[in-house]
Amino acid sequence: MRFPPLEGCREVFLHRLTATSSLPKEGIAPAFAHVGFCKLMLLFCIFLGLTINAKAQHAGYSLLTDLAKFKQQFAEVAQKTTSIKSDFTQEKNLNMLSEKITSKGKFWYKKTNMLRMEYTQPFSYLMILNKDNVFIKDGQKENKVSTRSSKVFKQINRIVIDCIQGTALNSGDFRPAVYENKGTYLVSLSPAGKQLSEFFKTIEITVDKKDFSVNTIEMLESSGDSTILRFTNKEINANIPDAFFAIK
Amino acid sequence: MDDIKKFAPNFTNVLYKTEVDVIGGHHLSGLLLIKTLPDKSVRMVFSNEMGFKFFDFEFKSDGGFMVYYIIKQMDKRPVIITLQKDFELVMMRKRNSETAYMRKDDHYLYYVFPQEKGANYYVTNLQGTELIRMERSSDRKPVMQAIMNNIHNDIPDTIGISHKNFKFNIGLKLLKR
Repeated sequence: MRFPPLEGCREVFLHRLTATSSLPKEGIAPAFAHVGFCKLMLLFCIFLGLTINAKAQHAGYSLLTDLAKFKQQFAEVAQKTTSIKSDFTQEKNLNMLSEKITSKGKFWYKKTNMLRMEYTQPFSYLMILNKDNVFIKDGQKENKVSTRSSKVFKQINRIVIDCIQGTALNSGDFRPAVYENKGTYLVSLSPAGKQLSEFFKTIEITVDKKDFSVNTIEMLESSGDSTILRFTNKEINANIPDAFFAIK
Repeated sequence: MDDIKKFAPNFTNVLYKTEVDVIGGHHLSGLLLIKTLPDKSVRMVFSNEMGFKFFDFEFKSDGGFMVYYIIKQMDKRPVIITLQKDFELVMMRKRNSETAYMRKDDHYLYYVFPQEKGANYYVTNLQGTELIRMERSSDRKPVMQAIMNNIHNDIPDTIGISHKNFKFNIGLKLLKR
């Protein structure tokens, strides 16, 4: 053992700065960004209409039989929805730790392809998606990513477009099932592809029957952990300037 | 040698805003939850701000380590071992008093805890009243340095982890919930 030397550790550090990495050189950040965006894209899909089919039981809900009608109604509303402004509460449930991480913020969506999510509590974090570009502001750090720059983003982009144009109904990215109770629909989405199913077991969306607006989005992981987003103070078709989604 | 234990953080149930800088100029951020369970094991879950989980580790009370979950992109042995050893150093685990020894220079005391490979170091002032930094070395060279600042009730407000032979830095800032 040659360490620590008499002159102290710091000096030795200076002498021995060699670059022998044991971490993968390809970097892990793009993958990290990717999964975040997948989720966002899923959010998108929800507002813009998706597909259906039957599976597990949900307490208090019964399976919807007239799927075609639901799809049509949802599509009509999606068509008329030009913007959404809302507050949100996010709750991450860590099952085995009996622990919750709660955060809050504001949400803005505007047709087409523009999304702004701003977390304000207990940390500040801003994410803007504007067509092909993503902007993230995390504390003092700002990060811009073009969705054209990678295969992964290209795929995500395709999902967005599919959703906006309504083609997601037949795109096969999810196997859906729709349930209903008195006041809400519950749309349960199971990822059909390997890529998405790695991250989520199912995604459950509750939709208000009154106006077909989304109340909650819950993403369930196979580990039993889950993340739920609750939308409150929703304003549909509020006037939101494009500048709000500007990526400088 | 055992008096270094007084600096050990006690992560009962804490949440840290986390920043990571890795090779290639990549930056990522997220939340790190550290919770001590009733059986005294420490669970560590790292997810991004939107709730997406990157990893879920357990540092067992008997010194063992377990990966409950890690995303495919990070599921590489060097990555996992690096994280495991980094946090073992910070949590002041793996302190075998039989092999431990102490060194001293004009400015600092060095508490040295040899590991299977290399050693963990805790550097204090000469009086042993202030923890200056923590270090991890291989058999031949220093690997990583860590600091803890503004410790209240055994919980540091900030933690910094910095690797010496490749770019991999972690910054933690305590969040008030």
